[in-house]
This record gives sequence, C-alpha cells and structure tokens, in this order.
Amino acid sequence: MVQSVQQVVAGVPSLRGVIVTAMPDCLLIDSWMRDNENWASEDVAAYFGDLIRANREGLKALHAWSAEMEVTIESTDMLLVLREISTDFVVGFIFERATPLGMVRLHVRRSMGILAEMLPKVQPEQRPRALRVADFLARYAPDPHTALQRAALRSGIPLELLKSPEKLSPEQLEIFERSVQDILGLETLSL
Amino acid sequence: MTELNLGTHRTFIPEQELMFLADEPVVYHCHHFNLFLDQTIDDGLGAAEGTLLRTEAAAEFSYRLLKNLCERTNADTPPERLQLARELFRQLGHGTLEINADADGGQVIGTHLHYGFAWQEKYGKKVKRHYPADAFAAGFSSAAVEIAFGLPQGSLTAKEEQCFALKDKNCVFSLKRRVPPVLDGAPVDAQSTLAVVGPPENGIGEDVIQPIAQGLKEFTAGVAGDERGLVQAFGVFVTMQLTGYYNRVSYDAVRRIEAKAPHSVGVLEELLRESGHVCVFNTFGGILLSPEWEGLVGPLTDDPLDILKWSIAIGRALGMGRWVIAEFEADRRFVVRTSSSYESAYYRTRYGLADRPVEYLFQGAALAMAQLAHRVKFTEKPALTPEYYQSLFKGGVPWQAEQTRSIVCGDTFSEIVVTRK
Amino acid sequence: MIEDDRNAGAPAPSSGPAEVQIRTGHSCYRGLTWDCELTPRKSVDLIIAHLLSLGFIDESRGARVRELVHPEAHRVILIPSTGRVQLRLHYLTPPEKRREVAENFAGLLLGAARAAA
Repeated sequence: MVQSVQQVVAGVPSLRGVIVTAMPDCLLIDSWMRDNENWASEDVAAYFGDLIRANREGLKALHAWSAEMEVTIESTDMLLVLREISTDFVVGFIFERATPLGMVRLHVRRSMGILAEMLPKVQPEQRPRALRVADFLARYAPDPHTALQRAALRSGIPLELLKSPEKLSPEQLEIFERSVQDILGLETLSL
Repeated sequence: MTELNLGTHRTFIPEQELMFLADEPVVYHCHHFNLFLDQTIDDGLGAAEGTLLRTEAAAEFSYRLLKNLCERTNADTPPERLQLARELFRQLGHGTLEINADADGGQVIGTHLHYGFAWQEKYGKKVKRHYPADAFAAGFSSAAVEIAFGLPQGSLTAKEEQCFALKDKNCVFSLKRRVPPVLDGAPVDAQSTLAVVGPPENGIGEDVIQPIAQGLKEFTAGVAGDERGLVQAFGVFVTMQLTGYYNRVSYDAVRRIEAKAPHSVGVLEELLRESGHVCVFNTFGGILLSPEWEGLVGPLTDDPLDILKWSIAIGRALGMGRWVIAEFEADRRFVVRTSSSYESAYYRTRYGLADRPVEYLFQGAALAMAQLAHRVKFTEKPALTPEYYQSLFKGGVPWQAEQTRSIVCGDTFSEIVVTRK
Repeated sequence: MIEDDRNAGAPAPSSGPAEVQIRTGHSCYRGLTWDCELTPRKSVDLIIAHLLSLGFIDESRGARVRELVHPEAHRVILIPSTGRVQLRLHYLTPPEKRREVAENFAGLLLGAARAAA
C-alpha cells in the first residue's frame, strides 16, 4: 500500500521534488526531493498554499474559478505545477525546466490520483487566528528573524507572550494583528 | 571660500580610533545599519514621534557640523554656505539636495537620498511604506538654511512632503519658521570624548591589526559620494554619518520607552543590537571579500582568528573605537574590548553613568564578528545575500554575547564576551 | 532590488564571448559588479598601460589596488599581487544590457591582456 509521497513519485523522470501542503493553514504535510536539491520543503510549503489561495480568489473575482484549476510556473531553471486535492491539500510538483509539458501533465495527473487516495480525509479545522497571524508575519516580513521582536515593540505586547500567540486575549490579538499589518504595509492580512 | 574636501577635515583621536569631521564625531555606516536603526526607533515610538525625533537629532548635529565647516572653509555668504551644505551632503554619501529657501523657509528637493533610496532598494518590493524615510535629510536641510542665513539653531522645522520610498519621483521637504526651542544637550566633541575614554590597550594580533587599520584609514580618506551623492561600495551603500544622530535617536528612544512601556525596553535593546549585527556582517563581510581587501591585505583564509583580527582592523578604520581581541579560543570563546566607543562617549557626556551597559552597536558587532569568523567560508567567496544572512538564524544562533564591562557604567574599558552556546 | 539581484547571478558563470568567463561579483547590485578571470599576475602592469593607451583614466589610490575608468565611466579594479579583476559597470547602464556590456568589457580586457603578452 502506498504510504508516502516518495513512493507515489518513485521513477517519475525529470522530477526534482514534490511538496504537499495542508490547507487552510499552509502547513507542510509530506514531501520528497532529489538528493542533490538544496532547498528545504519547510521553507516552500506555506508559499505554495498562499499561491493557490491567491489564485483561487483572483479567479473567483474573474468569475473563472473551477475546482480543476492548476497553476503552472515556468522559471529559469524549474517548471512548477500546483494542484489542489479537494480544498484540503495543495500539491506542488517541481520538474526540470526542459521537461516537456505533456509529460509533466501526464505524471501530475497519475500522481494526483494516487495522492487523492493516500492522503487522509480531513475535517478542515483552522488553527487559532493568532497563530496564523504569527505565521503570516514570519513568512512575509522583511528580516523575518526580527519580525516578532518588532511586533512586540510596536504592539507593547511582551515578546514571550507573542511566542505563544494562542494565549493572546481578543484585544491583544487585535493589537498584534494591527502591528503585523503595519510591519507588512498591508490594509488587511490574507489569511 | 575654499573647496570642501572631507579628507582634510577628518581626524582621529590617536590610539582611540574615534573619527571626527571638523570636530564633530562621525563614523562610517552602511544602509543596513541606517535603515534598521531608523526602523527600530519608529517601531518603538511610532511613525510620527519617531520621525520627529530623527529629524530633530539630524538638525541638532548637522547644525554644529555645518557651523564648524563654514568657519574652516571661510564660507561667509548665504550662497556659499548653501553650496557648502549641498557639497557636504553629497560627499557624506547622503544624496543630492536642491535648496530653495531663505530665512523665512522654503522648499528643498532631494534626489538619491541615502535613506529613501536604499529603503526602496532593500525593501521596496517586499513591503509598502506609508510614511517618508528621509528624516536625516529633513533635519540637515533645516540646519543648512539656519546656518546659511544666520538663524539660531532650531529656527526652522522641516517636513518631508514627498518621498522616493513612497514611490514619489523625488523627495520634497518644506521648511517653516518657528520660535526656536531651548536646546540643552551638552556638546559631544573631541574634547568631551577625550574625557571619557580609557587608556588604550593592545590585544592579540596588534602586529597585524594596526598596519591594516592604518592602511584602511588612508584608503578611505578619499571616499566621497558619486555624482548622485551615494557611496556604493562593498555591496552596500555607505555614509559618513554623525554619531550624535545615532546616539540621540537610540538613547532618547530607550528613555522614552523606559518611561512609557518599561516592559518593552528589552526588545528595543535587542533590535538596537541587531542594527550592529546586520551592519558588521554585511559591511565587514563585504570589505573582506572585495578586491580592494585582496590588494591591500592579501588573500582570505578561513582561520577564525585571522577573520577576527581583520574585522577588528576594519572596525577601527571605520571609526568605531579601539577594539582589541582580549581573548580567543577557536570555536569556543572570543572576548573583545575597547577603551573608546562613539556610544559611550555620547552617553557619558550627555547622561553620566548608566545602570547597565548600553553600547548596543558594540554588542551586536561582537556577536557578528564571531559569526563571520566561524560560520562564513570566506575562501569559497560566498555571496552575502539576505538569504545567506537569514540562514544564520535558522535553528538558533550558536553564539551568545554578554557585555561584562562598560565605560558607561564606570569601567575604564568596555568588554563583550562571546561564547559558544 | 538588492537581494534579488545579488542572488540572481551569483553562482552562474556567463557563457560569455570567446575565452572570457565572467560571473557576478559577491557584492553585485543589479548586475553591475562582475568578476573576471583572465589576467596572469605578471601582466597587470602591461594591461594597465594598454588600457591607458585606449583612453582609460587611472584613478588608483595606491599601487596595490589599481582602478581605471573606462571612457563610458565603467570601472575596472585590478589587483597586481593576485591578478584579480573586477568590472564595475556605471549605474546608468540599462539593466537588460548589463551582462552584454560586462562581456564586451571583459573582451576588451582580454584584448589588452593579449596585447600585453
């Protein structure tokens, strides 16, 4: 029985890596990458989730959304395909840049079928908003290693408390969220 | 009026490695430091109060520098003094100013201003800014017009109305008259500094450090802004900046936070240290990897003690104080001392003794030097990118720094002990 | 933006014109700084003499770090003791042409090196 992403994609030619992100919290669930790759799945997973979310909202605004949507990105040295499994998971396939698109689509379709069977059926349960705000800050703040300190200084909320954001009171969460918006220069946070 | 040449007005206190320009304390710092420090002040005080403090600090110390330089260069008439101010601003690496103002105020247009330009370069694609970035240029502009027209210090206010960092084409400042406030800060100059430095010490590797520091000082004597008024070198934008600006904004912010949100002082100090850390890592690292370094000193090694000796020499040459290596055990312990720092000179002169060490730049710099020495493979000539910098913090920094002696607390030297966790 | 651009070319050597390998320098902003491997140490002085004859201006601040300015305001740093060469393009060079300009500049230096040899 297939139990891991590695087993699903074993033998797929020109594939550099696969990353499975759980939605709506954008958390890494499983991944595989070739031995010689030097990126970390943890660094990538949440951005893939955000990408799909932004894409979904954009298509809805265009009245063009469908559950079968797919995001394809062709960069200088990789070809990336993002697909959703229901609304629970986002799967990112990273191929070598020169891989023919037809072959990419074939392998993506086959792998998606197996992954849909393999991945657990989940009841979407969002984590507390404070945790998602903190994660969003860490993902998008410039100089992320200082982001929480900056939020603490701006909000007046002790840093130790911000390190456990689920403990924030509703009033503190509001202040925290406003400080995050200020740091990122955003009117609202797309969580 | 004689032509302005920064090199002829730049001096160091012998053996203390503190730099002065026409008797005003100055130091070389990069845009990483400048932006992060300003940002920290605004995080602590809010955009409006932070901008006002930064503008006032810039005006206070620019006024003194301009006054001294006008006397030294015989700039006597308003046009000569305005010309001197423009040229000074450009040579310091702060950008270009067009001053259209008189004793009643007016307008100043800035292009390629260090803060706004570098902010746009470093952060502009990541975040949207909502308020102007060039408080230093604002304060400098008001001081320039005050000096030009013989006004008492503080007679003009300056406000940045348009800013390149807000995606405006240029930066535009409005200057307006006001009743000058009472200014009571004690002057911080070479004389007051000499009163609060300790006896200079030697440390490990002086035979290497001293000649390199001297060579670098000579090399930097001719550094001045290009036709834009920017100094772009070693992978950073460099300014020769008034230390009074850095010190006043830092210590005023700390004092205000102590008064209104004492539980936030620790995090403010942590961020002030980070200003020093990001500066040393990028600027010192950039200098070490440059062809200029290869020519002046020779090829790099990966020996941590070599990197530390060289970093100490760079710190001295940039005017940060007489840093010495007091102790070193590879991969375990690094103790750095100084008998002088621009931070302690200011603090002692303005406030007297402190109840805790407050030399934030020195603290951050010591940690960064340990990281440079032990975590960067210089012989592989890495690109010191922001991603590289961020990677230092993943999984936690394996070094910790503690200040064990401090001139501001009454010791004759300041000391940071950096140890492996 | 600084970060992106420093990242952009750092590891990748250029295909470059004949025999000249250039790569973005460690401190490169926006493709303005390029390292160039071409100079045998002994010939640095001769290369400099040749470049001066081509209209370059010597703005060196000392003998150990030579800095020459191209007639179009680009700069080349030459280190006589090690043979290291760095090209620094003028900031007004159009971004899309920087690699090409750097390659041509490197080609010019290669010509100078050959003339010096």
